[in-house]
Amino acid sequence: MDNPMQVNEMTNSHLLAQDFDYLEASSVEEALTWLAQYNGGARLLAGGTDLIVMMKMGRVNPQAVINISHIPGLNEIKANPDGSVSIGALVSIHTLATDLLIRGRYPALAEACRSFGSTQIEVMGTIGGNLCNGSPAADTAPVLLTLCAEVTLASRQPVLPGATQARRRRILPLEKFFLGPGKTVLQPDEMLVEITLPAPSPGSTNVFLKASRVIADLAKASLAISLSHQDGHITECRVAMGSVAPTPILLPRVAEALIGHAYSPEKAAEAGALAAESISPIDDVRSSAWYRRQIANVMLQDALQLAWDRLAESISAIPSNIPTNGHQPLPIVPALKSGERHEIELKVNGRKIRVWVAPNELLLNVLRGKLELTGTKYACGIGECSACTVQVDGKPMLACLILAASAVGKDIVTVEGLQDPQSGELDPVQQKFIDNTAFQCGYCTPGLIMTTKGLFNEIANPSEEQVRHYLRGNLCRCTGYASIVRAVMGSSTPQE
Amino acid sequence: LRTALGVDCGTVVNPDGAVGQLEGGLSRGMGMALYEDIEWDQQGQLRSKGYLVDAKTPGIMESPTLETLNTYFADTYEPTGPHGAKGIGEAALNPVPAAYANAIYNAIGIRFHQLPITPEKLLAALMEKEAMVKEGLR
Repeated sequence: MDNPMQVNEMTNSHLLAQDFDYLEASSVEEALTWLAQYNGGARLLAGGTDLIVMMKMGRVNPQAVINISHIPGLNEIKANPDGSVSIGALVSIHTLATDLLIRGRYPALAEACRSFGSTQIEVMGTIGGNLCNGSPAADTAPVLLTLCAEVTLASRQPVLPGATQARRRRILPLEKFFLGPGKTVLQPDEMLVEITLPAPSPGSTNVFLKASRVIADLAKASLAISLSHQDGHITECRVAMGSVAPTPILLPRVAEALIGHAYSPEKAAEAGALAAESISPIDDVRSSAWYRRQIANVMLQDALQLAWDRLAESISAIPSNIPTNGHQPLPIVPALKSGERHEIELKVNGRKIRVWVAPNELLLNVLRGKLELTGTKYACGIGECSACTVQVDGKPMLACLILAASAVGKDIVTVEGLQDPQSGELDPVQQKFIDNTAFQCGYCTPGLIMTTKGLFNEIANPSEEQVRHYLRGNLCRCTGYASIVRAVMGSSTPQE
Repeated sequence: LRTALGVDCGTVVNPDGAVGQLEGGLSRGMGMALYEDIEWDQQGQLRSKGYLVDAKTPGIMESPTLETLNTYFADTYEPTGPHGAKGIGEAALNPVPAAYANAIYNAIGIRFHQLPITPEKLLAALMEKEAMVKEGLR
C-alpha cells in the first residue's frame, strides 16, 4: 500500500537511553571550563526535573551532563545592605516557597513556587533551572519579571595577559533573558549563577495567579502583578504573564493604563481587555488560544483586586532572621565516561552499598533492578505521578529523575527502610495507611507514604489543607484520596 | 459543594474497602467528566505518546474535603451473590460523570453531550447562550 498505517510508537520508557559523560563540578570555574571544552555539547544538571524529562523524551541529547548541584555558595538567599535580595541559582523552589524573607518581601514569588506541580518538583527543582529551561510556562518567571529581577551570567574569561579575574560576568534584566520556547540568551559556555531582586519600594505589593487543568499541573496561563501606591493612586505597576506567548512576557501597555489611577472595577476591566489584546497565545494540549485570551482578561482583574486589597492591609513586617541554607560538602564523583560503568557507593536505608553504574542509569532502576528494592514504583517516568518518591536527605524526591551517580553521598530511604529492622514493626505512617485501608492496588502507596514522611519532617501536626497541598503531586487511581487524607491525618474511617 | 456517594452492593463484605471503591469511583468519574481527553487520529491511533502530561487526572486537590464527602450503603441482600454481596467497581464509577453533567445543567441550564466538560467548553457554551438570549431580546 502507498500509505501504510502509521503506528503510534509509545516513546516513554523507564530507561534513559542516551549515552553521555557525567561530570560533577566542585566550583563555578570548573563547570565553566567543562562547558567551554564540550563547546555547546554539554548541559548543566541542577534539579533534573526538566533536563532528565527532556532527555527521556528525546528533545535534547547532550554529549555531557555537568552536575552543578554540589557547587557551594550557589544555594543561598542573601539580603544585601542596599535592601536587595540575591538568590543563588541553586536555591530550590521549595526553599523559596517557605523562606520567611521571600514570603515577607515578595509574597508573589512564594505563591508561584507553591504552585509547582508537586512538592517533589519543588524540592528538587531550582530557580536557576526554572529560568534556564526557557519554558513559556515557567512559574517563577512572570513574578521575577514584575519584580525587576536581574540575572547574573558567568562565563570563562578569555586568557589575557595580566588578567586576574578568571571569570567574566554579565548582568541582564530578566526581560532580556528569554528568546523563545526553550531558548535563552545563555551562550554555550555561560551559566546563570544568581538572580537579584531590588528592594521592594515602600507601600508596594505583588500577587501571582495561575490557571491550570488540575492544581498539580503546568499553567494554562499565569499572571503576576506588582503595585505601589501613594494617596490612593497607583504609582508603579508591572504586569507579566506566562504560557500566553513564546516566552514569559511583560505587559507594559497594561501597566501604563493603570499608573496614575485609583483602583476601580471599571479601570480593572479596561486593563483586563488590554491584557487579552497584548498576548499571543497558542492552542496546545493544556488549553486553547481563545480561552487563554478570555482568562487573561479575568486573571488581570482578579490579580489587580487582590493586590489592591493586599495594599490596604499593612505590608507584613520583614523578618530580620535570614535563614541560612547549610551546604553539606558532598564527595565529588570522578568523571564517568559515556558508555562505561563505574563502581559507586550509595547509602540506602542506612546501609552502604557498592554498585556498578553507567552515567545514564537512573536511581529508580538501580533501586529496583540492582538492589531489588521493588517497593519504589515506576509509573509515568517523567515526574508527573510521584509513584517513585523516595527520601533523599529527609526530603521527598522522584527516583525516576535522579541519575544514580548524582546520589552518591546522600542518605536515601525507600519504603523498605521504614520498617524496624529488628522487630519488624511498621512505621506509624505505614500502619495508619493499613488501618484506614488507604489503598486498593497499592501501586501509589509507597510513594504516598514516602511523601507523607517528608511532610511530617516539616510539619508535625498538619491541617487537612496542608496535607493536601503537600501530597498534591501523588496520583492515585483506585481508592480516591479521602482514605489517604484520613490515613495521613491519623483519623479513623467514618462509618455509616 | 457537597458530595454524596451511595451504592447498593448487597452485603458489604469489607466496609473500608467498599468506601474506598466509592471514593475512588468518584475520582475516576471526575476525571472522565472534567479532565481526561484522549485524542485519536483518523487511523484510530492514540495521539499521545504515553506521557502523563497530555491528559491530566484529578489529584488530591480536586478531591472533596473530608467534611463535604459522605458515603452510604443500601441495606440489601443479593440472593445470587456470595454472602449476599454483588459488584461495586463499575457501579461506583458509572453514575459520576452523569452527576457532574446534571450538576452543570442545574447550575447553568446547558446540556453537554460530550466528555470531558472542560472550562474551555463551558465558557464557549455560556457565551453562545448569552449571545442567543441577547438575539432573542432584540
